[in-house]
Amino acid sequence: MLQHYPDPGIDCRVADSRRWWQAITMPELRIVISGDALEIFMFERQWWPGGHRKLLQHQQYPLAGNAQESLPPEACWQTLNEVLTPLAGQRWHIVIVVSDQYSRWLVLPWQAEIRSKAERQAYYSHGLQQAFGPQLFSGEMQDWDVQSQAGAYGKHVLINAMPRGLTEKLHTLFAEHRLRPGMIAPAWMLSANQALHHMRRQKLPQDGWIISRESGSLTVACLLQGEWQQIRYLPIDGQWRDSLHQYLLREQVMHAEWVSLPVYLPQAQWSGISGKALSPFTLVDVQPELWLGDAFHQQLRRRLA
Amino acid sequence: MQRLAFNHARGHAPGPATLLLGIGLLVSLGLLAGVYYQLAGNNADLQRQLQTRQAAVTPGNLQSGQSIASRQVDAAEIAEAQSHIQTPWLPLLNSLEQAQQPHLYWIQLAPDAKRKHIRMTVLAPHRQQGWALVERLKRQSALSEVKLNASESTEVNGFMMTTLHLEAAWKF
Repeated sequence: MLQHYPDPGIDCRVADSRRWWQAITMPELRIVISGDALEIFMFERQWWPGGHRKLLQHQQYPLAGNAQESLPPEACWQTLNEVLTPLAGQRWHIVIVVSDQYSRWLVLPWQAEIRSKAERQAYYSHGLQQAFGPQLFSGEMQDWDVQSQAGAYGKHVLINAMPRGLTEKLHTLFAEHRLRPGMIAPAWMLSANQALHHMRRQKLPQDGWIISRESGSLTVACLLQGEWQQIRYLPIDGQWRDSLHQYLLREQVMHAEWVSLPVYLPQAQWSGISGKALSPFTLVDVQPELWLGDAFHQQLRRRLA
Repeated sequence: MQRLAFNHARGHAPGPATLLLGIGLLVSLGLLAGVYYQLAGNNADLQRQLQTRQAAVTPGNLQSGQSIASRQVDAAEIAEAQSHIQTPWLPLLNSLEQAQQPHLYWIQLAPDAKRKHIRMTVLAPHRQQGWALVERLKRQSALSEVKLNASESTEVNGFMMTTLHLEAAWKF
């Protein structure tokens, strides 16, 4: 299950939605699809920019999934269908968050020689094949929706790939219920946007490890002077704190310039991790702007512990 | 570092910033079009006023006596200037030069363009030379009514000479 505290407007900006006018005028239906659960959040509409949003409803549906499958199990679609049936035709701004193995991240170096879109696609395809294996990413790349974002000219490019079967199935299912998603977002992006928002507010340098805790893995990215250096998946178990610490120490040895970068971890305190456990790294507990109520907090605290 | 904006949802609607920019441009275009049409209307009015003024000051529309008098004065001045321009000074000078001989000194030439008349004062060493000049002038086709008005003896630099006062009309 994705361990993320929803923060509408911060983790997913209104302007980035395909249906941003719905984000302004309608309540938000947020669906989180992970490898072992389906989670539904309903937020009331935001009456003014930056205003308070109340959590109307929160539901979790555990799923018996296979972490190796690139598409969610049938049970996920059935559950989602049942959830959407009473909402058919209603006015919602829909945000779908995709986590775990359904979303793949990669950082590639800038290539100044690349001119055309085809060359860029070939470069990304090759990088994804090298990172995740040719079994997952075929040479044609027809089965994946690939998007990229470059910080600036000459800087590394951040790439996200999502199975096309998943996005098409989502569009089809929502269309059957006369709903249209405004956003289909990868889960780590939400944590990254929260951390970047925290850096801006606190006027901190844009350096650090930005971590998203998902069902069976941590997605760990390194940001150095505003440039993404790398992004990795770290399989975890009950000892995920030690695994993270060991990983960070190892990376620090391999890359001398990454020494003592702060670690941005959402809800670190509730997760039972302290700055001492991650020494010599500085732990930054990224707190959400939105308060979703005591009941949700107690539930999240139990889940994170 | 900008926020991350990965979104796999379908749709090509412009974002709010793009939409606001587009609306702003459209409003500006509308305002500019309004200003343009207003200026074009003002220009058309001014053109009409100019044409009206021009029609009012054409010669056929001049009615006042003062304007007529001033135009007559102007016309007379123009005619006089034209007569000056048309006076054949060069043919007249050529005719006089044909009658000229050495030892004859032209003291004065006083042409009158209005009467087509010229008065001449000539200094000659001998009286006969002066009369010969009169005869040669009479033979010039461009001149008529050549008259010797007076002749008198004059001492010039210790020499006795004859001063002849002549007049003639020209035929140009």
